[in-house]
Amino acid sequence: MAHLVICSYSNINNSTQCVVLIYKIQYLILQGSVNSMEILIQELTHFFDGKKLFDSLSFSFQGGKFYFLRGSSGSGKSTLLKMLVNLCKPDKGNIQFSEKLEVINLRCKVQLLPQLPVIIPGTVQDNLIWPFTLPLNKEKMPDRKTLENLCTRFFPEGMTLNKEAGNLSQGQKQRLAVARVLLLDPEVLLCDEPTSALDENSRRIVDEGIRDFFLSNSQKMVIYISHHKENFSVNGKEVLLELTSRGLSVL
Amino acid sequence: MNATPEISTLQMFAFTGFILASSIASILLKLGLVKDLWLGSLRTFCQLFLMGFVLNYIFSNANFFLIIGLFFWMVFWAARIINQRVKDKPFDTQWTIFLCMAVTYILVSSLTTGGVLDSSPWYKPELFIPLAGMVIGNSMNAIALSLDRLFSELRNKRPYVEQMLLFGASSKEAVESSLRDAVRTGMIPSINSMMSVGLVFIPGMMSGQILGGQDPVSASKYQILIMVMISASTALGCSLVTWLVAKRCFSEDHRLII
Repeated sequence: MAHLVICSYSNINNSTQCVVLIYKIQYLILQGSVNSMEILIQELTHFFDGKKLFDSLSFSFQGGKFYFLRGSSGSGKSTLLKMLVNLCKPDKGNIQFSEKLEVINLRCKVQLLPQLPVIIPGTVQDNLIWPFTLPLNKEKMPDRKTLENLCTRFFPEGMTLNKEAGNLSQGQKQRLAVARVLLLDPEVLLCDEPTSALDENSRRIVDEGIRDFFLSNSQKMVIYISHHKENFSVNGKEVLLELTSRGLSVL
Repeated sequence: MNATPEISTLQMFAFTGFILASSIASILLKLGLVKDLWLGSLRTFCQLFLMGFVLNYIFSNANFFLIIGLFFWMVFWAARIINQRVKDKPFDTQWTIFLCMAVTYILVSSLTTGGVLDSSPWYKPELFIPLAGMVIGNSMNAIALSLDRLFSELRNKRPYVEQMLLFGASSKEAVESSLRDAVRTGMIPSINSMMSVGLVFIPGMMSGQILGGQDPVSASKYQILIMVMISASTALGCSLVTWLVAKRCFSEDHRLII
């Protein structure tokens, strides 16, 4: 239903203003009810090491879109993602989410996948269930079957749940981190060059995992920082963004 | 048993010979410590003499405010020294340390003097000041070690702590393991000294009492009391300081801000 209205809204762009207004209202009401996450960045200004990183940057990220974020190194791509999960606070401006939530609950719905995986001492299983040892996620603890399925999916070369995670290769560790973050089933996934240090095989599995996550539900949002020119296709939902000192622009 | 002989001023000056000897060693071995050695010795002379006079005065005028004032003065300097000793601290910790030490030591010292030793009043200077001084001096090291460890933990384990936060942990949950490590680091030396005391060394206070003509068994009782006090105040002080400082490392909205 929501999609129908949104589509018709975009088709009647040339109609009279009055009709547009009615549709706009309807669109906004339905937008709220379908519960798709929207992130609104307003007038973000931030300094880093005395250098102006963002100068009143504004943008709106929509659910159901796969954003590829590009920009030269040092342009603040990682900082921007960190700000979205409140690990870093902008000097000025604010970031609003369509859902009003406490920061801890928000972090559960918006997950950041760092460039280097954080692996804790213990087995593969210990690492997979790490987020679920926290009081907030305790009820969502996955069963063994789910973990085993995930294992076969992300480690086609074979892997057991009780293998020591510290002995995995770099690529395997990152795949483990991706599998773990997907277990949390966030609404928004922020990826900070997750494949930059990986071999071809691991890169393919990681990218496939992120793509499948995005396609699993029409409301998911992904923001993916990538240095590589070749970006994968996600059913035409991809948006190519470039971050420069002048702001975010759609390519 | 005879009391120790009084040390005359002339004998006092003769002791500078020892400092001279260590300075020569420093010069020969190129340790670059001569200046610090003399400054340290001078400060030891002055500070202890001054302390002697102040104590003399306070013992003869046992005024509550004077005694508590001296106690705070001692804690103030301890906090200052600890604060200087902690490397790479993201913010000034002196007043946090001061507050924690003051609260812990007042509690432990007054419980000991008033509760265990049954002295009346509990702030009787002959007991309270030396006991408090020993507790403060001995747990200073522990607090410095704890804070040092806390900061290095948070710095080295930043990705880990932030990953915890990303998974939806509160700052309290995210810092828990670092906190435990920090307090443990601070407490190990005092536990070690409880293990080795009497086997490896005769502690300062007990030696002092024996030199002063006390019966060694009665001196050992006081030493046991002091050791227990030190470990109690170390445990309390370290936990309180690291907890408060760790809290300051996070923002209200669960962000690591150091």
